[in-house]
Amino acid sequence: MSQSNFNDLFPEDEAAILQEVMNIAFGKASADLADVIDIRVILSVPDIRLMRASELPAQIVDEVKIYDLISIVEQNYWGKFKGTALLIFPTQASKGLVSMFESEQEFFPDAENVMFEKETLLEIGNILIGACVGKIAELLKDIVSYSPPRAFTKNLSNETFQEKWTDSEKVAVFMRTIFSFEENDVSGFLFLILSQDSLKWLKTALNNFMEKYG
Amino acid sequence: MTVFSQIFDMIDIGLVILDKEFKVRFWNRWLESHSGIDPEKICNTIIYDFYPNLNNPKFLRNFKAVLTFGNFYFFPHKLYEYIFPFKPDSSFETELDSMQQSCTMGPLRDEFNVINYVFISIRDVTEAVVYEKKLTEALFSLLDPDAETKVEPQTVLSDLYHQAPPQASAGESVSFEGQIEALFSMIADQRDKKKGK
Repeated sequence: MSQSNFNDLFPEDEAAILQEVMNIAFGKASADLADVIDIRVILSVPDIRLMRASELPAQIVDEVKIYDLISIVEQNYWGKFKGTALLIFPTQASKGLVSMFESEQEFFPDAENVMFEKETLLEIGNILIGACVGKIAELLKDIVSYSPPRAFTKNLSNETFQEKWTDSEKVAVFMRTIFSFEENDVSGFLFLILSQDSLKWLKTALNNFMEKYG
Repeated sequence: MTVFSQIFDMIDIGLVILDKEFKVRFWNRWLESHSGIDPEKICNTIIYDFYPNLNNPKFLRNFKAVLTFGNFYFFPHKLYEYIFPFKPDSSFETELDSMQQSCTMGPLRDEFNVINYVFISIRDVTEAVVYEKKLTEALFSLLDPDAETKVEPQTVLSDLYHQAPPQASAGESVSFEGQIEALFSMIADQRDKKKGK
């Protein structure tokens, strides 16, 4: 695929519309998250770019290299808006995240601390990813379903990735935002990776959005 | 009865639909059968009236999240061995007093795409949990031969499998490493089966 063909797949003006959609979606998600989990989550202006799938691992490793050891919550979402969400933050910050709900451990007296922490981390990741992805999908008139989230503690630079992340013939829309929990001094990255399967639909949905609100 | 209604009652999965006020709007035949509660009796009542264990902050928060964001909540089995306390389905006694459940909560939208209801699906995973528990016990027993509560791996394995893998069933002396290898191989097989490979 030549560079010009590559750029034509998702031109800058469409990326700008998607950025606007995500800004609106994240604003709504942030307000609703304050209501649902009673904590204010700040989401930065997203950075959006079209990439070859094979470039994604290196890109993510480069983004998170500031952390020694990272915790990851991975969740796949699937509708017309289809892809993978990765919530990544320094492992040492996970205690801060978990402390938000630690008082609830009394409801699960048999749960060991480590297990309760992991499940709480998954729950927070599930809600945060669901809020962001759900609001974007809603604005683009789609409905998405979710696979169960998975949590890992990893050093990404040592990881090998699945084929969908190594195929140089495929492209993906890479969306990056920084999230922070205002009251807990915890921050990290939220990466949304939209698969090539969604690209055609996304372009139409963005045009429809502009026709209605532009 | 519509085809869809038939499916909801025929599937081997529990399905309950709640409205925003936690009132039961649908209670399928699987739940009726395992709970012994008629749909007529539980529909239009608050779910907590029958299952007070659901009235906890984690459930409430995730119920609200599903209504607000349309996300799913996958009840972690490590925290919730079950959300509806039913007896195990098997005719034979197991070491577990309650049916182990894998439950998911998700949104249901009306014709205007507004989320007004949530569903909770319930799968009976008792057999898988017993299986996993026995494998874990066998593994720990092999790794810690001096454990106070000693589980004989061969007993566990013969419980689990009528036909143990070749390394462990040939009637010949099997090395410690060989048993570990066999066990890991079976754990991997089990994982692959779960993945549907």
